[in-house]
Amino acid sequence: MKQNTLPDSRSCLVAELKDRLERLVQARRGAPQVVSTGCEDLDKLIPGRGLSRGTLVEWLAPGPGSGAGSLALAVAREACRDGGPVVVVDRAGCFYPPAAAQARVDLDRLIVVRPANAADETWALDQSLRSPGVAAVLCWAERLAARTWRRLQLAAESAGNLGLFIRPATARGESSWANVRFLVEPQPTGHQRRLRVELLRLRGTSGGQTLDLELDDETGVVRLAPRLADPAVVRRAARAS
Amino acid sequence: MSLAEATAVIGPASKHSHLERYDPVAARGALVALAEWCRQFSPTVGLEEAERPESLLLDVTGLGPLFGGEAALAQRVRQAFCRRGLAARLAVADTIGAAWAVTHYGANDECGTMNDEWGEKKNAAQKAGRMPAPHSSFIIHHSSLSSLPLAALRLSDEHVQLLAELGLKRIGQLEPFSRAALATRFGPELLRRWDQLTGTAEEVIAAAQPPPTLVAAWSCEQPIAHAEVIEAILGQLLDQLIRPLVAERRGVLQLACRLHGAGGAIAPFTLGLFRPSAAPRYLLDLVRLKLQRLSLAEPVTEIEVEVTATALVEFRQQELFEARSPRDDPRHLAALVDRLSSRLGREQVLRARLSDDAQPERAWRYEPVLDAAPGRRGTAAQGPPRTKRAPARGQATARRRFKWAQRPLRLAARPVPVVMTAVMPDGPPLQFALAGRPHRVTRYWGPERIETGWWRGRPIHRDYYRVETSEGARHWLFRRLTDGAWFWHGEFD
Repeated sequence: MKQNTLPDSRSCLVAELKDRLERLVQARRGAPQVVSTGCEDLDKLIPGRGLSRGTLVEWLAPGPGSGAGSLALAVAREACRDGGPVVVVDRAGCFYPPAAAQARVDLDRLIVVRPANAADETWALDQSLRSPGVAAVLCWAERLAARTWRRLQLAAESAGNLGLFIRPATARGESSWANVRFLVEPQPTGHQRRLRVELLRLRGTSGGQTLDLELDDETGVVRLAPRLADPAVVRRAARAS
Repeated sequence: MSLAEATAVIGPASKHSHLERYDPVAARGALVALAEWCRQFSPTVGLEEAERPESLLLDVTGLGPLFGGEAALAQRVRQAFCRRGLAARLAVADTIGAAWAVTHYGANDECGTMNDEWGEKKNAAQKAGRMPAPHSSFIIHHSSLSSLPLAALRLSDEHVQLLAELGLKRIGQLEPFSRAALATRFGPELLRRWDQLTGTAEEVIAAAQPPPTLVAAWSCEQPIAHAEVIEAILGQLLDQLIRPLVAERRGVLQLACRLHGAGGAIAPFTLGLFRPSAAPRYLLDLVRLKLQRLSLAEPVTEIEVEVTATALVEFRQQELFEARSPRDDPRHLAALVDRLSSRLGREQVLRARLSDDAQPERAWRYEPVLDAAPGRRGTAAQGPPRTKRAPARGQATARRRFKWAQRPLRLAARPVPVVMTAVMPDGPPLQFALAGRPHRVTRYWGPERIETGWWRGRPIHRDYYRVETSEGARHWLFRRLTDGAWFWHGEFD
């Protein structure tokens, strides 16, 4: 009995302390503005029901064509609702605006910046994140030094902007100042595109939850993938009847 | 006139109505351009002194004989305006006040046409198109003006209302009162305007001058190599240049800087701004960003700064209850665009526009954000209604105009040749290698055939496939129909 209550009370205490800490942090920063990820179920994974402004978000993708960009673009589209444009920092020159238009991003609210080198890219990211007139900043970033991360995070915090970064999955081991880090793994199934999104890291929680999402490539709509029953269960049920 | 008033007047269901937001900056700009054009009639053309000027003043003193009389001159001006498709009301009078009064309140209400009307002294309320006798004497008669309403004196609304409450509606009704009595009761403004009407008080036309060229230069005794010194000098030059602009409420839209060395010009550069600015410190910041990108081959001996484009700085009243978010404030965005464009170059800070072209590489085009800058067109910057309307319109155009099948979010700048395995020569893709890594195709959608005409110079004939690999990644590949070669063109990231 005693053995049971002790961990219980301890976990209660930890939860309470965490709650108090969170409140203290919030009181200092003011109530954070939250941007939806474009998918209600994904929002539920994050405390505050969405990505808070003034932070950085990372989407790790195992390779090209994984769908991480579309998920990030969906967040950018949601961020635009409060006004201001999305700044896409596109060093590779690969960003394709017609696809963004198909994903219902308003091209009038899209600014594409094409820096020529890594130093300019960092500078452009810093300037855009620092500007109060911007809704979100989207970037395909291969490699960012820890110091740069910190600088960008401070910039985002100062203006309350959202920085969205799509990075290769090899960056998983790197330290990061991102508030939220998702791992996006495409699932080879069905007609609809299916992505498994794992919440690798979320400041203040342990992370580790996964969610299967369906992505409609044509409209950019993200929704929870319908859960299929376990084949064994189906077989058993069929046998029973 | 408010929108509600306008719709009430024209009726709600009028098909021919076209509503546009009133833009004080653009209106003034148009009037200044018109003043410049009117200099063909008179050497001195000015705008009326008002918060929202809507009248042009031409000094035609002594010009009558050149045009065959003042009436002929007026007729000529009238015809010139007609040819430009503009309806104008004209009056030739001895004082600015009288001409203004007749053009604004001269009685042609009964005809109510948009035609020009020109008041001319003897019968101030002449109807449109009827010419006065060529030799009529141009003397203002009090009798013709005294029947005009008091608002014709260019008084403020409060004044007119106060006078109306006292039963004074016509100019003539003021005559019985002594000047002293009027001044003590209604202030000096009423008398001043009245005197300007009758010609007792002088009033001059402030000519609208074309903007002067703004150049400031600095020659150094010793060649300078230090960036800090160059910056300090540039700061001083900017200060000099901006001072006269501030008085006119104008701001810099474009700057040209030229640094000269012993061997000639070494680093000319121009700086464009998203919104006009009259803050030297802000401009110096942008110039500094440009300077950091320059490598000076030799010490600088002369620095020259020229303001090549200016625009009126728009002052917007702050709202007490700011309903919209700070993200909608165009100033923040303008500052960002200015900074980015100044360091990275205007060609690197872009806005995308869809174009109606089947070829994926040409389905959109980029335009520098600076080119579409609101200040550049002389119109008001994105105000709240515009930004509110923008999403709906943008989405509509995106949906309406983008009729192609699904497109990848990332498109290679040029198609990458890949080695493809297909069962049949013209069959669907099975396996391809990208950057040395093999990808097995498990699903595909297509082909979507895209061909362009021979008149385009380099026509394309492609069969596009959207493929899903065994890992679930999606790519965009095409087969060139002319030789069957495969290319990787993008990823559905």
